[in-house]
Amino acid sequence: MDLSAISHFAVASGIDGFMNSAWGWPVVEALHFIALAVLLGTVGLFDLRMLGFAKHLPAAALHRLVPWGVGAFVANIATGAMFFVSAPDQYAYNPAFQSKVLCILLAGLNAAVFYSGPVRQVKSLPAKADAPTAAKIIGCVSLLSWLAVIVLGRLITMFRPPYHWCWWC
Amino acid sequence: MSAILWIQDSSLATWIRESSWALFACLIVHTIGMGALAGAAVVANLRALGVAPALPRTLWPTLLPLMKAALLAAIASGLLLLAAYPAKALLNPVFYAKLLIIGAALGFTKKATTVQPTNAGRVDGRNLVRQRFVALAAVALWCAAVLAGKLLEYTHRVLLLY
Repeated sequence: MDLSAISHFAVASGIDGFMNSAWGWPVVEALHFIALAVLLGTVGLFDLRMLGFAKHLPAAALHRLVPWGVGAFVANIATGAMFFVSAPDQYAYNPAFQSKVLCILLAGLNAAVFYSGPVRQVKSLPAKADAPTAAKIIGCVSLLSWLAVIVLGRLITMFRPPYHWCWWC
Repeated sequence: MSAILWIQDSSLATWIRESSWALFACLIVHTIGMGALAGAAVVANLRALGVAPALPRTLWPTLLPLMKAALLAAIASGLLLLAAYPAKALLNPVFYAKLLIIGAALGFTKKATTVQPTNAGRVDGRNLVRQRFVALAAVALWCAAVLAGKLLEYTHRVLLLY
């Protein structure tokens, strides 16, 4: 895979210069983690409600937090892209990064399943009502996917190429 | 310095540094703990700021068990990380700033998300503005706490004492 075009873009756009300045990498890392925490706090809390936590809260009211989670996810993609273009070889060939992307795709697919059906039942759930089994399974998959994303994100710095190499390279 | 050396040379600290998985496990638990704690706290403050109005304005009691578990996980893993590399944290002022900011963030979050901004049973405008100001400060403090945590990796001058 030729990653030089990505590196050239990072240099030409100034992203590379900013990321390699004294504050660039830590500030973007902090923004990435804050967005991840908001995602976990909003979507994760909704998932926990599906699984029976805070049952006195109506699910529809908690669902109003989900757009904040979506916004946080967009911020994660933007900050994550800044990492990627600044050191593409450290991500593209990194097994932890590849696994993280797979988990994000799984979370996205899981969300698509939720919005294709169970969402209507869940939004009409009154306080103290149990979520339907399908919603519980979806909530569990969502929570585990996002936790795996955090774990794998942490592992990216520990399984760097060339000491560790991607699954299919 | 001798206390730092004593911690650093303890069998637990040596094991964490030399194990193939212990340091990773501590970092992962610390990351999830801090993420869940900050995430839950930010959500409670967002509610105090007017987001998701169908939820109770005082989310602290609801989220407290979750935040307690997340804080315990973060403290336990944080102590193990501190034991592994005590000089890295204890000789860095950013570490103390991080602890102070987290304490302040927890205090502000509790203040903003525990008491209804009411007066004689009705929402009071001045109390509401005050509550929102505290909630906004709490969100800023959580952002600062995360930044301080990230800066620890970049600002330490000593990793191990010799």
